[in-house]
Amino acid sequence: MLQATLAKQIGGFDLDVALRIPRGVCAVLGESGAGKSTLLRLLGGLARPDTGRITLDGELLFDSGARICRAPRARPIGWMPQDGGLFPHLAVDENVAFGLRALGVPRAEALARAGVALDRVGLARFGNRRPRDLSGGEQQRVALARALVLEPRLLLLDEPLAALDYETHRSVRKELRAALSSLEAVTLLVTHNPTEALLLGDRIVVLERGRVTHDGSREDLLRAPKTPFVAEFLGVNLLEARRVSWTPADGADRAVGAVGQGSCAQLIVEIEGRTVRVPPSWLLEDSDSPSRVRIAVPLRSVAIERVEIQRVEIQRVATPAAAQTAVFLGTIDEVLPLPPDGSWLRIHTVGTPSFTAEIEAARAAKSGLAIGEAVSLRLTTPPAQPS
Amino acid sequence: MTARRDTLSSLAWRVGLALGGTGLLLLLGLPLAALALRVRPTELITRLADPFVLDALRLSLLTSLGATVLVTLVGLPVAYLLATRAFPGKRWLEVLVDLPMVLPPTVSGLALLLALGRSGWAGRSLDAFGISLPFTTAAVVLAQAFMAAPFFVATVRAGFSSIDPRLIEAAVALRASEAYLFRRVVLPLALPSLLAGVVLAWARALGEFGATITFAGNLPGVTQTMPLAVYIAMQSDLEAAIVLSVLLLLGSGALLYALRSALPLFQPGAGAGWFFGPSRRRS
Repeated sequence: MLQATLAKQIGGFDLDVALRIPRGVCAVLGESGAGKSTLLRLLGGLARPDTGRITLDGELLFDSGARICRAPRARPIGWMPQDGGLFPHLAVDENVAFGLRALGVPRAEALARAGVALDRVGLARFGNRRPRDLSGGEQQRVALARALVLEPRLLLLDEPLAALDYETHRSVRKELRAALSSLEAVTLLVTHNPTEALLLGDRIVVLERGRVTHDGSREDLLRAPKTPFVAEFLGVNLLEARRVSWTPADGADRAVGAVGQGSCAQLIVEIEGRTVRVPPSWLLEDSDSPSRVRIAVPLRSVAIERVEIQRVEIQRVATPAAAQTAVFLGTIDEVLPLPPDGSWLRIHTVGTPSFTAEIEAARAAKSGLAIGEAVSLRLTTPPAQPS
Repeated sequence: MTARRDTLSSLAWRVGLALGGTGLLLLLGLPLAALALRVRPTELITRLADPFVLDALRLSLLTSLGATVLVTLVGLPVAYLLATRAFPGKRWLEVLVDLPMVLPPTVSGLALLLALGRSGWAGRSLDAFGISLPFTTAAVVLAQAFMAAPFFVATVRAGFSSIDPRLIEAAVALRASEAYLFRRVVLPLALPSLLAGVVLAWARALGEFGATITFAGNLPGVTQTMPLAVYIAMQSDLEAAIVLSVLLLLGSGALLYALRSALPLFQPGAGAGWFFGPSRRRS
């Protein structure tokens, strides 16, 4: 278990985080500049926090109050910098043996243990080569062996896959997952790539502008994205709403006002003054208060149409029957063709609230959707899709 | 029209480059060629046996190598500190280290005399122990070291600074102490710069004239190095001066050529620093 509360100011940037991370792989996800690498360097002892406290399995590594700051060499860490950071002048086995020899292990023994570590990452016969003769993926595996040979209890990996091309990326990712899964250590893996985070992290910490905005299991993250940043890569709109009524499938009404009929579960919420009926599956079950809720709206459940702005009357629909037609307004500021062939577009609008929607390119062209156009947005219940 | 103007300006550019190149080639090459072609190789060899030439040559090699060793020993820590530390007064130290590069060598020699001469600051204490530096071979070594130190420190410091900081971090995170880091990472990666610094310092020491003659005087066999012998010979025996000069020219040229050829062999990762062009770091 790693427990850390850390604050550090560098220039105009400030990092302020509190983490409790059990053994296993924790992916630290964030955009560049979010403070991910700084966090790793603080934990590894390569930079000193302004204030805070770090313990690993109860062992104190840093405490600003007690003026304790263990040097990196006195911390049980493993370190894998971005793009491997192999020493170019040392052979592969000398690279792997570097840490052991720095600790005073005799050369022969250090090289023998390096050989075992190289074998474990499938590079047993590469010991005599120079790093520059290795492919990017092989260099990363050597760097991993170099970190693991020290039997760390805190493994710190900085963007381990960022420098690799796509094919290598996939294969190294697989190997990395296998190597990390058997490890008896707290592993922190920093990445800007959500897919990487979801594939490699049992637990995911999201870092935005120096703050932790999400900390939980992979399932938590998928079920309940907490910020627009996370929501966007998961492909949903994250909306703040007020719960109006909630009708479970059994029909017993638990609403404030008696509404809702039929056998389907229904959720009625108010978003920015509009009352909308939404599928209960959109509700994120992580709300602190019963009335303030957040809902996740899939991108293809936002119907988008061009409007002549003068003719629009903002509909304030009060009756539940008409709730599904509640309309929001916005202006298109981004249009992104989607793979594989651009036949679908992702359209981002600014307004209250802002939306991201996906629409077929042909329909978008027919209704004249383009950047700068004013649009109306409705939430539609997605048609049942076989999946 | 535009295409025509482009062709013209490109032509002007090339002509400018060619003119500049030719000009410098003439400025540097013409005098050196005139010097080198003045003596026949046979005369060069017979003249080598001349005790006047031989003494100067022997003394020059001895003192310049001594100065190089001295500069390396005291310059390496300074280059490392300047490259890796921030400390109060760092800028003053930098200026101090650079000064001999821009001061007239005679001024440096005078300063050495005032400090280490018999009535100088430190000289008086040395005198109490019966040690007198001025006008000795040791004074030559000091004068040469004084003048050569900036070249060594600047080159080696640039080498230390050009090491990828992520490699340093990796080494520290892999349990390296600072001494271990220096021995196994910093020094090997800065080896090309260290080599360059040593050779430059040596070449500078070999050519040192002004500080030497001011501080150490001009005693044949004791302080009369080759540059001093050239100066003296010019007034009596021009042929001897030319022979000495050609020897210096050939020696220095060979040294620099060897350095340039050897550098790529020591290219494990980091570059040689600013002095020898952009660093050739592996991408």
